[in-house]
Amino acid sequence: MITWATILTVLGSWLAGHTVIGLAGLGSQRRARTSLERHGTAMLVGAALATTVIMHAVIASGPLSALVARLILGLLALPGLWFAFRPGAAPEPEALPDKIPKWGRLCLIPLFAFAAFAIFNAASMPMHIFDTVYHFSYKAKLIYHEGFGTDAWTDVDGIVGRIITHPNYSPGVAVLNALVGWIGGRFDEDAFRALCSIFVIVPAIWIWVALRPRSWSAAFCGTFMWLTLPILYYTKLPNNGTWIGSIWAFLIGTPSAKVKFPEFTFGPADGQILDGGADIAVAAFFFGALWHLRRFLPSSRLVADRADLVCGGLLLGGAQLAKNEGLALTGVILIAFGLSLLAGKLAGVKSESGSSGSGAPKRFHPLVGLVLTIVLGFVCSAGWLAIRGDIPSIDENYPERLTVSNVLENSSRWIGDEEEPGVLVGFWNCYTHVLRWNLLWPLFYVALFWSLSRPREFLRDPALFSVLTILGGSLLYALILLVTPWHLAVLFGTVIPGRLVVHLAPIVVFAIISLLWRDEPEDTPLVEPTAP
Amino acid sequence: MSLAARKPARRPPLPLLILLIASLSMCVLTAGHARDYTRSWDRVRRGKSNLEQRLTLGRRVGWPTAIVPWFDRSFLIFAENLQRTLPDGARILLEPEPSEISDESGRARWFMYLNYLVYPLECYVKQPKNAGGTLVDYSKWLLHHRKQANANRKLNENLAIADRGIDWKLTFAVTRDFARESVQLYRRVGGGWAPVPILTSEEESE
Repeated sequence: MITWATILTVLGSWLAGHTVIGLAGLGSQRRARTSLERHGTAMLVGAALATTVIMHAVIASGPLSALVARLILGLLALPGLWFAFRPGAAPEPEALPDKIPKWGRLCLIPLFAFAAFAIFNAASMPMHIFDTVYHFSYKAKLIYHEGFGTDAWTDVDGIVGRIITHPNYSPGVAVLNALVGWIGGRFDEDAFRALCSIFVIVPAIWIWVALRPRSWSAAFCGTFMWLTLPILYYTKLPNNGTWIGSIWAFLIGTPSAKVKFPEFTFGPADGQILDGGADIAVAAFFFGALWHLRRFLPSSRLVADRADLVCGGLLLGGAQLAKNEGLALTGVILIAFGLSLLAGKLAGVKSESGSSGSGAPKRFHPLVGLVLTIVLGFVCSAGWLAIRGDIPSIDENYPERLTVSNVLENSSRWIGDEEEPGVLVGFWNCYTHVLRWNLLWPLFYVALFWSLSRPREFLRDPALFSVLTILGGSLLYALILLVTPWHLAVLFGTVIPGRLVVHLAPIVVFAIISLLWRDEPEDTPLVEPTAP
Repeated sequence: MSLAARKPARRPPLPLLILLIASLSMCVLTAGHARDYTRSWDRVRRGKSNLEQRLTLGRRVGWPTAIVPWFDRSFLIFAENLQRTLPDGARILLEPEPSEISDESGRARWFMYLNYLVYPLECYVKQPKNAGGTLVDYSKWLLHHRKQANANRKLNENLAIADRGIDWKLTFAVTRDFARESVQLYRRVGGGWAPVPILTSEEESE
């Protein structure tokens, strides 16, 4: 339910993001940014900043009072009031290659309709799924009332102790949930759930902004593909037995489908992605980090300024704080960036240095951009990493399990047997589950194989970075499933690995459209072409 | 200075474009879901408080199963009454009755939701690592309670309970759904536990 706490937290985060973008740009040359990019980016960068500052404050001093929490968010937001409306001088955005035709403007109506549905969906249902309530919202209650380091976190593995699940999961989403409580003056998980639609809306903005310079149809297809992705809205189908029942329920409505198929049992389709958990937060923050980091690659032929560096770092920190997977994905993005850089060099991409023209910012060396982004990401999560060691890992403990010997020992789990389905089966079922994913995954792999038919061009393609991140992330999750202590059939029943690869979903959308609408390789100016 | 427009990107080849259009066309299913969801909200949850909305996710006429089995009215009212019965800052041990463990599914772990709902009252369990662990761990937790405790284990557990200042105990049957009649509250008196009635509300008596 949208409350004043939801609105004020979103507003505070948005202004705090403007503070970051504005302050980072002071005293240095900035690249062109459209209003859409500035306001969208500010929202999630501010959310990441608020999360990290509030978390460190709670670690340092225990649970905050409402006054202190409001004061912190207010102080972060205050300079943003200036920067939001006075962005300062920057190079003018390049003219666009095409205009949106009149009939194309009609296409924007469903785009806005689905964006509105994402907001409505998050705001109109109380938080209810076990994982969301227990893994995240319960910790938000602990942070709100007790802070970190109490026996609720540490006295959980003795003869007698408190109940908690995954105590050493990253606490970012729980911190944001507690912040909404402090802003509103009482703990309210439903007010926080309503806020989670920003994790759908902002990636949509980033997809549009990045693809619009290719063509309006590329931008439309990418943004539409993201906003209509079924898994964002439901994981449980209206008819669990058959797809045909569910398809009919979607087409003619569940009540009519019940009449048409009296032999089937129908229930409401329901989902956990927008229920207030961390999967969608990781997806949005991690995509934001990649989105900013890609600008440092020479193959992108884009310029990056200091604000890109700071925003990328904060967003990476946000991903690390949202879920432990964010920490693992940091390693993936590091390797993917390095490989993309190397591939570009092999394919003859020139690394530009110095300023790329009058009014354009000085170009960062790609490795400087990478290292500073990652360092800033870890600065954001430093406090958590420092206290994490004091919290017992009571169940999965993947960092300890993910060893070469363990992977080799469990290699029979790739295929599985009669007792337990294999990891590959799980991924295959996920990728081909068109009712949850549409044709996203088949399309990605087809586009990838098509691109591989032009290897040299593919090595120069800026989309290579996204592709390697997707493949690396998928491999990482496959390895995690290989060593999991869970019975795989139980996990697959809870929409794993689908809920894991959601973390990569906005990048997959971005990669597909980037591979399909290939940029002209030559003569592209270095100044970023962006447009509303 | 306005820079020259860049060249438009190359269009995708036809077979890939067809696949893309096929994928985008599937938005009709998402749109169908959006229509169903909105209608259901309008019919069932619109204008209701958050608690009432939660109750609509429990067992409901026309649905074969509840979305959240723990959102049954009897359970939510029980959690409220337990909070009213216990003093502020009370610490309470949640313990299954060894002879009444009839369901090992995750659904029977309603005591975890109880812990969430009655917070900031502090709920404790024996072997918390297994109670809050995976379902594999959870079956070990049930086994722990099924097993007859020897004198040494009893002593250690009692010491740990006393150490943590736990003065209340709630015993219950592990059943697929919450069974109010199987729940019993006790208070520590001297060396033993004395039963205490849980306050009831008008709603519960109805």
